[in-house]
Amino acid sequence: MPQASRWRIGRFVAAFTALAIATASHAAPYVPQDDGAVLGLVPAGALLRQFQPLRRAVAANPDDVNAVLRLSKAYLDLGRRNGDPRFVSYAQATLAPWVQRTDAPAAALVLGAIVLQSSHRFDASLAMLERALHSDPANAQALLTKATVLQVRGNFSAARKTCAQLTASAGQLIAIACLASANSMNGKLPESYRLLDQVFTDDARLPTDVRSWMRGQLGEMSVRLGADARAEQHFKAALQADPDDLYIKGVYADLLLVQHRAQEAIALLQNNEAQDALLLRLAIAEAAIKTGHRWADMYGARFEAARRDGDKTHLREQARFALEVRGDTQQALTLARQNWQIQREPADVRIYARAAKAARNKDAINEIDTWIRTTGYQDQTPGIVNASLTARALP
Amino acid sequence: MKYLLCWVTLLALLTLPGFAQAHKQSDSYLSITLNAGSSQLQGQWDIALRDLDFVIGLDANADDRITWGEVKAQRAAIESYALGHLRLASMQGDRRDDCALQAQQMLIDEHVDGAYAVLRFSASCHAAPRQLAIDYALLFAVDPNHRGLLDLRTDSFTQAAVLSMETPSIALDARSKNPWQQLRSFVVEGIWHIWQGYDHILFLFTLLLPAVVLYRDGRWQPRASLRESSTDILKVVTAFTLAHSLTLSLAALGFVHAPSWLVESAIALTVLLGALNILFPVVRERRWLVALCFGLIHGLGFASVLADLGLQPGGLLQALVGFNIGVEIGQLGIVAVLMPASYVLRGTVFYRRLVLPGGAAAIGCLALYWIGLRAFP
Repeated sequence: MPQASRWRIGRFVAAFTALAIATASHAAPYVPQDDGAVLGLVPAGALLRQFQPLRRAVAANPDDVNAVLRLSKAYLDLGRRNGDPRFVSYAQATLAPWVQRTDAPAAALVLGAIVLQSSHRFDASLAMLERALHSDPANAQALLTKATVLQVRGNFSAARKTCAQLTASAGQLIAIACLASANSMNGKLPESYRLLDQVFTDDARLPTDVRSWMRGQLGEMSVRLGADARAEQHFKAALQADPDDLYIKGVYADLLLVQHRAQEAIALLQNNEAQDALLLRLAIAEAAIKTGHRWADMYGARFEAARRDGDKTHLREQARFALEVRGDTQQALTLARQNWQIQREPADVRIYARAAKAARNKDAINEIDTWIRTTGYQDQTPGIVNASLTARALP
Repeated sequence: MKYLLCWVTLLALLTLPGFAQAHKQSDSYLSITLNAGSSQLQGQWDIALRDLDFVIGLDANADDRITWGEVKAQRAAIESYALGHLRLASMQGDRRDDCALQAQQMLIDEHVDGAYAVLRFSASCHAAPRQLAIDYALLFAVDPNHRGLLDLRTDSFTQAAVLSMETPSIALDARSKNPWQQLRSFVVEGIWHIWQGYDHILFLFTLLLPAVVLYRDGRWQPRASLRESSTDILKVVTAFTLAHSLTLSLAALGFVHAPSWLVESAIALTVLLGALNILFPVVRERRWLVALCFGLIHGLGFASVLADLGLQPGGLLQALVGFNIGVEIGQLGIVAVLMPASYVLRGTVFYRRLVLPGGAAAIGCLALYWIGLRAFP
């Protein structure tokens, strides 16, 4: 008899309830009774109104490349601050007529490449960067973007070569930061941390973005080095500089979750339900302290919406949701494996390794094990290093 | 230093790919209902108020809040913008007749990412469409990643499609044919799965090989009649079918869940036990009971295959029935090949001394290897 099968009535009931709620909320369109009824908010409304003159200028004169570049840059920045893909899409639409031209300026192509990268179309992004570098071989922005995309793809040696080309056009310091980032994935984590730590001196006079980025890099490297307390110092310092940095909030929450500090993770993220990646951490925290499944239901509904429209940019988060909230090891592995084909950042290594082990899938374990051995990837996070997955020993 | 700062700012922009895609992207929900034989179509189109605000400007008093009054005031603009970016046409061979779209009603609905305007409209076509062509262009000019999630409903089925800037047009069959195609594809999947999953075939072998013989006086002896053998085979196949249909259904409907490595290991174990039962017969007469018990485990294995095929909530029953029929057909195919051969050979020493024990030993070894592979990766 299948003593194997575990009955999960509770889970079924929960899923059914979620489905019923989701259906109910779609079931009945209505006519609001009151003209003053507020139906929704306009995100970043004030900023969008500021862009209006620029938007009109672009509409009136599509050949005004400076206006096009300014507007698309503004949209991209807004997309980054709010974690909202619509703004990135607006940048893409603004740039579209320009990047199609054979005489497209390098600056437009680089912005176009950043748009493609943020929707995980990495190969298309690299192709557009090659076009930019063809017309302007020393374009620092293009080189830096290229190095980043190559690194996300796991092509560290090509990333390093690109970083080296930066020395001439962007100066030594940029090239060093670029190299440290690539090397940290490639067997030189402690050295890269020390190097980055030496070139960076935190100072309130520095631009916030720079401080956040440096602190984020240092913090993430510390996590991988197993230096949790130091990592926390970096994340806290970054949030002091910019309390709304979504990226830092995400990696800091992950650290808290690994340390079983779910309550603190919830306190950190409770106003970030709108950002799927942070909502995911809330759902994980909620599951860890068993206080219900409100956030899990919310994330589940967005998961389903993304599945329906074929959106593949959330595979990493979806795999974590499957594994850490739903306990569905098979689905987690399927998603993590798809994600692995697209990107190979530390978070992608971790979810693939964990899902492979949870599903006891020999092929997947072998694949990630081989990758870790050949790249020299180092990571002390629980779940990566054990008997079957041997990361390089750290000093 | 200034050099550095400028570019590192850009670095910050680059290191956030996961977060740049945090919110849901822009979707609209377009559902079109066809009534059999009618040239009148009904449509409902849910479009996010945020998107309408970006292209039309709903927030008249610029307070970042969209009220019902503001939406109502722009109703004509919303309807003409939306219906101006959609074309429906009835297709008859090469002939294409555009349908006339007419707005009817505007309501509000909530989706996972906020409030949507719900436009209800009618489409008058020249004749009841055999094929409906849909050309979609909403929002693409400002948001190239916008998608239209289309549902085409008839009284008997629903077809879904995603319209994007890459595939803005689609022609869908408006007559009820597709459910059969879908059913057929699941039947084919079921047959494939039985034939490609050696473990299911070998398990059946361990039950069917001895069906033409009897274990008596410490050795296998041929059964007297075709009827006896057929009855035995019929019982085994029926029991296996009932059992795996039961667990397949329960698992597909979400009532039962088992980790796949465990199910796969257990299936390998059933193959091993089946083979051992030929070498050292314990269950001699009532092998159908073995088929019944172990069939439950094989059903769980089928369910994980079915889950991998990706099911739409509405098509679950269809998938379940189709897949099950496919599994039965595949199974009967195996019986049809195996039974005549084993029946003819049953009296030979070759069959009783070589095929039976040798086959069982080989199957048993393979099952052991699988257990090792699946349970201890």
